[in-house]
Amino acid sequence: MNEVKEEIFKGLPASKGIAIGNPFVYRAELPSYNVDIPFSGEVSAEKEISDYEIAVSQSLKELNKIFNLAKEKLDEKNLQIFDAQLSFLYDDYLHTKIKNKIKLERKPAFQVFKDEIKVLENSILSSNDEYIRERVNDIEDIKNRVLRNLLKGRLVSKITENSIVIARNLTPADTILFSNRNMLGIAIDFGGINSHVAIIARALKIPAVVAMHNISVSVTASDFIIIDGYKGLVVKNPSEETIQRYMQQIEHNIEFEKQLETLEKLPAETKDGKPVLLSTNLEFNNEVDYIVTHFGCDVGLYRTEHLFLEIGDFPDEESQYKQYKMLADHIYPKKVTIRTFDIGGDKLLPDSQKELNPFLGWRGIRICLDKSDVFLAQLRAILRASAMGNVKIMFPMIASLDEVQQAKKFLETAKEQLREKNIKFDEKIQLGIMIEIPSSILIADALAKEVDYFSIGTNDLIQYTLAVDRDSNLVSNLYQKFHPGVVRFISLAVEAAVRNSIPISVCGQLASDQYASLLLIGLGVNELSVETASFLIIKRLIRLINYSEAKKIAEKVLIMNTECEIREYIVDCFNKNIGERLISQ
Amino acid sequence: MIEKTVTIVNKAGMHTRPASILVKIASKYKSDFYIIKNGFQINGKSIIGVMSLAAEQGSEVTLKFEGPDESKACAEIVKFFEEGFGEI
Repeated sequence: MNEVKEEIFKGLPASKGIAIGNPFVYRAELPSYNVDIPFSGEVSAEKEISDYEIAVSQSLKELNKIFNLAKEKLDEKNLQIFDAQLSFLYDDYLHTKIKNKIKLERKPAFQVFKDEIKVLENSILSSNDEYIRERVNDIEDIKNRVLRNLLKGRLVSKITENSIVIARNLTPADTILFSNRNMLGIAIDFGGINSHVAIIARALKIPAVVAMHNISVSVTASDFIIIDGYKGLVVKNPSEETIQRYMQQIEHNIEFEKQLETLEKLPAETKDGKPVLLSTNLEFNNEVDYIVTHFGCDVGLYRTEHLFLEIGDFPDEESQYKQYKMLADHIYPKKVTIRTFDIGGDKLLPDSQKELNPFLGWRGIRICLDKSDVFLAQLRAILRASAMGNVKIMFPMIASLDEVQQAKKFLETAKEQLREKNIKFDEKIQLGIMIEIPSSILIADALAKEVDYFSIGTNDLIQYTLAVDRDSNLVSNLYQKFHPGVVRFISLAVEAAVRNSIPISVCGQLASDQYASLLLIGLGVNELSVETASFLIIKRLIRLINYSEAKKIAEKVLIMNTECEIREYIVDCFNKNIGERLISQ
Repeated sequence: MIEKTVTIVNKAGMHTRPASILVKIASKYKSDFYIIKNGFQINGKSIIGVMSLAAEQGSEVTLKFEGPDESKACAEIVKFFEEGFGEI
């Protein structure tokens, strides 16, 4: 075999894991769909109409099958997309129009249907509203499905088993179907981390990378590839060495995960007997059952933003209540901390009013305090779900004392409104705030008197402390989690919490990082709320360290003055205490 | 015949999910149902028609009902619009 050069393509990691294998380059749109199929001689309207009817009923059959498959794998919210797609095929007005056109113009059904959909696509694309324009993707699946059936095409949605699927984009239907053909991984040109494909891939635990730009034309069936769902990479024609490295990583991960599972039932306690409250962060419902059956822990941070992002607007009280209640019921007797909407103004404002600095703008509690109806509706929904006593409330983005006091007034109003209607809720519901803006740490003593607990949001704390935009590539090297300023801020926050006898947790990314957690525990943080994927890794860490040693490490770190010094020291201590790093992060 | 002008209030506009629910509601009634936007009229019982309006947040549309149960149909559909398709 000829020597081929290894190539690496970078995108976004959408679903973790590693896949090694042959690609199946999937093209949803057959090239012939773009050209007009020449036809000669007489078109038999009768035959075309009957072909059309058969194609539609065949498409219905296919989509119903996918719908039923999806029902087993996805929750209700994710199912609606399939239901809406089906309704296109039930559109009798469309069918009548197509049939009339076939009779009138004596054109093949294929041509007439394609033209009709094109008209629809053009009107959708003519909108000024980006969200509406994106809806053109929703008809893509239906269009291609009917056209393919009209051409009596083979079902292209069949992939070679055990392959990695490469595509421009994947519809939810394809993703579900392919998972039944033992798809190893996914790499697509388009999509974001929260696109339908990404969400479904995570739910199905299939490694996936998205936003790969031109991957669908850069890879062919004769290549051999690796998908790195941790780093968002595709390695094309990897060298023997790279393959070996990834194989080892997979083996390691399997072995390590097996070991980790044995920790599920063991307490999160240091070697010298100090318990650490270990909980998880939660965003999507599909993780709830897993958390309950495998971890049996609290939810230390439930983010409510996705409820907003899914519909592009604030959800009403009733639908929020249903969601929060479902969560509280499932997790009971464990507790769930619900954080009120932490949305940026960039999601709400029209383009013309967009802020130059959305992270320093209208976001989090600032929006809630300005939009009292929205805030009160959310607070009532949370309170109503708290009746069993296992719900806590948390406010994000607190910078000053009067913000907390104002927010508390809203909470009192919401409680009063419920009392008037004799609706039950937890009268003693615990209230906490996120510590993520430097100013809040410097006035932490005052804030502590207003609330029952603190929770440090490290991503924003780092960003605001160092004045580094965490999403900017240009300064990403300056986004330093072990910057002495960050470490000292965390230490100050912990001290304030201790002085005022309230608990303090960390719910940001830092808690999911083994090295950082070693330091956090040493600094005296008593609760870590971590990503579900890191839960057992952090539990392992806790069980391998002595609290007394962690404390000494933290004391030393607090007198260091550079990030580099701190990082190297922590890694060194980690390696001595914990042994070799076992899992890729 | 009843005619009623309404505004699309939800943030995401008339996207696929509300369009499919709207068509389902309209199809329960015997009355004909049309939506007019910028002088362009479509059949409100056809999802392809509704989607082709590309009606974003803030756009005004006129709803037209004609048939034996037109007032009932009008009431339910106007409510659906006013409630922002259940997305507010």
